[in-house]
Amino acid sequence: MRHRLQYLLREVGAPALGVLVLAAIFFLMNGAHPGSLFAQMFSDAFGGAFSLSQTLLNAVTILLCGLAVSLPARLGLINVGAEGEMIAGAIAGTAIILWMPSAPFLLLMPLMTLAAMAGGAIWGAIIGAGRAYFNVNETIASLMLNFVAADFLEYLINGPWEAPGSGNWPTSDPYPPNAMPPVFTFAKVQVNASVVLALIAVAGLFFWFTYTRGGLIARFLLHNARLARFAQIPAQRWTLIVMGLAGIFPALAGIYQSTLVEGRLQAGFYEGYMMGGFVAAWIARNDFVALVATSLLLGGLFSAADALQLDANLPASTGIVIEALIIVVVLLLRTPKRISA
Amino acid sequence: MPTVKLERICKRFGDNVALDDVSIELTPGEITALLGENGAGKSTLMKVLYGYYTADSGRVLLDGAEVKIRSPRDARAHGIFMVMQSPSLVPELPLFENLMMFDPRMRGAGTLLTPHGVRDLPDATVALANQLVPGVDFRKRVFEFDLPTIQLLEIVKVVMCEPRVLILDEPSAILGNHEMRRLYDYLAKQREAGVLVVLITHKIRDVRECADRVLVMRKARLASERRANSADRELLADMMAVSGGANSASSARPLPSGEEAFSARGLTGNGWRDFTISILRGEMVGIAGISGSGQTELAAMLSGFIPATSGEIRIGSKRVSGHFRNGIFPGLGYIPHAPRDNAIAGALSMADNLLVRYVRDLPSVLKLSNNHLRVPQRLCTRVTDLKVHPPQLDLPAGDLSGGNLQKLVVARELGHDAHAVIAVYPTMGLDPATQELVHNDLRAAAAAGKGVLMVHEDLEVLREYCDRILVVADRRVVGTFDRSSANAHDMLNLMTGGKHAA
Repeated sequence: MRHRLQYLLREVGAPALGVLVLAAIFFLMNGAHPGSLFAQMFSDAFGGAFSLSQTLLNAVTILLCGLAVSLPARLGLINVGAEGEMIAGAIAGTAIILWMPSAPFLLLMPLMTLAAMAGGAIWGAIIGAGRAYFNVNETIASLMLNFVAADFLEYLINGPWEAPGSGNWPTSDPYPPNAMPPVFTFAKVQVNASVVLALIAVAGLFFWFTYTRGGLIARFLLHNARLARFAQIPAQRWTLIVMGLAGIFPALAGIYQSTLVEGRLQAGFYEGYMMGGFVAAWIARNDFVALVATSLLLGGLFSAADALQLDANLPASTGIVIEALIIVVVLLLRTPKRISA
Repeated sequence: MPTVKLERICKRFGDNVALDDVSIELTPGEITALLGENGAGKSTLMKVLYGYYTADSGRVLLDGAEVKIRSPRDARAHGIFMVMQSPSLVPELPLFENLMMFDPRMRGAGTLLTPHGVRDLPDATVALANQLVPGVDFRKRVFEFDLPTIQLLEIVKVVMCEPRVLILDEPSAILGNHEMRRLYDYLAKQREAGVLVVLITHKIRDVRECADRVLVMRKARLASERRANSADRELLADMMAVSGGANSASSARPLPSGEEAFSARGLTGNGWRDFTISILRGEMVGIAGISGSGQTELAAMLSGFIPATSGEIRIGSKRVSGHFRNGIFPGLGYIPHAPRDNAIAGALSMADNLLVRYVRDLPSVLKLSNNHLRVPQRLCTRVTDLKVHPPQLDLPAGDLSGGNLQKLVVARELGHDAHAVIAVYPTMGLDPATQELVHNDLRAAAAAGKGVLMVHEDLEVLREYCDRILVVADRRVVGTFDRSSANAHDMLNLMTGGKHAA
């Protein structure tokens, strides 16, 4: 129990304090009063049903992008392709919607979701195949493919999918009402279907890595791939499959973000979430359950930053600054004190 | 020149007492051999002197004055240098850049480097490197050298700093006879120059060839101390608790049956061409050669650890060469060289490392934190028989000393059902008692009907245990001996490039 407490203090208490102090300094430099701003931020993030709904919407996208980082990381792979995978998912899902815009909800919803998942999986598998069979660095490949995906998206909405009369800010046609994912309301807090899917994914991954033989195999691959050869594990196939699986999560986020938030396919809908997911995964040390908590926290920060910009007259980039402060503080606290010669 | 005194040194790692009130005195101009079983505390004691570990209690005195050595940097300031077992050269950099980084004559940010590269190296350093590795190519990147050469270069890196106290941690674990010969000569010269040398070793030969004094450690304490000339082989072996007596396993052995356990035909790749071998059930085949003759690559190809370009491998009656992508061929035990890199994940528990062979037998749903309860009983027995220390299977494997880690791999690879076993330097870094245990285990595996292939650095061991010995040089088989015809002179002659005597 005491160890648990010490652990929480070290892992959560110390970084939180550090971020608060640095953020306070940042606010003072901008001529704002830190105490009241923190209170305002907290209420913008978690106070009230509207704030919570907004936070949850941000958090689930961050969580899904975080899973795309954590899952490969548990096998020693670094995936920074969540953005490309979000786009791939949104494009694949939108293709179904545009193809059968008048299909009934019960047909369209599963089809567009599955199509999005397939799109993300293929996008991830391209990266995985490069790593496994052609010795292409997966970090670089996944990062570069983000640009490819973004450009392809631009092409689609400026070309074949451009809605007539969308002018300087081209988008696709608006999605039909049948393409709107279900949103449940609990005590006035809105929870959309992707929250349920994300939590199922978290539970499944947690179970897989804690209670199955596959989790043990993943450990071998993470800590010494040569050891995996003793277990006769087809390491290349594992790389391919895991990168493909990882692509599914941001893809879900991509289609749900497009439908729920934007209502149409447009450029830039994905911005900020990959970095958020990366930070969340990294603070959680790739632990799937901890990732839920860190995603909520960052989701709250995203909501608060939006509100601050409107209410407190702070620059729009305040959220990014605080995100950066979190990275710096956690990085400092986790660096070994002394590196022996 | 300093006299080094370590007084009443104690050191614990958790519950494990590594050094228990050890006092020693070292004199300049002498080579002291430090002997003991695996885990007896030899390396730890020297790492205390080198500042790598801080002792829990006790004093270090140089020339009678107490000094505080808190880090290797402190130690080096006092002229104390140690060549550790773990590599420290940067593999991706060429040798000359590696040496420049550490050469005391090239210290300081103001040192002007010309575009001449190698020519900037001080003459003394070039001469020194050539002395230990004749004709060494300074432009080659470090990873391109073979293991023994790298070990010698590690020594070069340290001795070019002109140490007054030089500690070598088991160089003979990696170096073959030829390389050790050069090292002995070099150490003798250092002794003349008044350097204080400590040689941590398991090999009686090291003591005979160059030591003036012998310290033996056992179970974290200093067990005995004597002049080398009074320390004959039997006495030393006795001190190190070798079970003694003639070798029982080698005298009574069944004849190999006619059935084939392992075979390779036309194996090509990694510099080897058209290698063919057939090992029968109950047969033990040895491979002898100077290190770097391609033995490790051959064994790795035969086991499926690295791919061959072409050829066919059969284990039992099954053709397995198509299975390469999945790893070690099914039905084979494989003990690779450098097990810490090649066969162990240090961050995982010993249990996880043992279970790697049984992953397919595990239920698909299980609680992974309980893995130490899941290790098969016969594997546990083997781990106990080989006296792996510490024996708690839930501890990280990376915490084991080199010898114990080697034993863990031996236990794992001999402990599962297999038609054949391939062992590469299986006793490197082990104390004599454990070496005999491992050799007898391999022999017993053959007696139980497996085919065994053993790459070994010691010709005597090969002659004692193997039914047949292949001599390799420059990635070719240059001679085959059976038990009756094998003699060290002919084998050595072939290994070094001479013609077969017969």
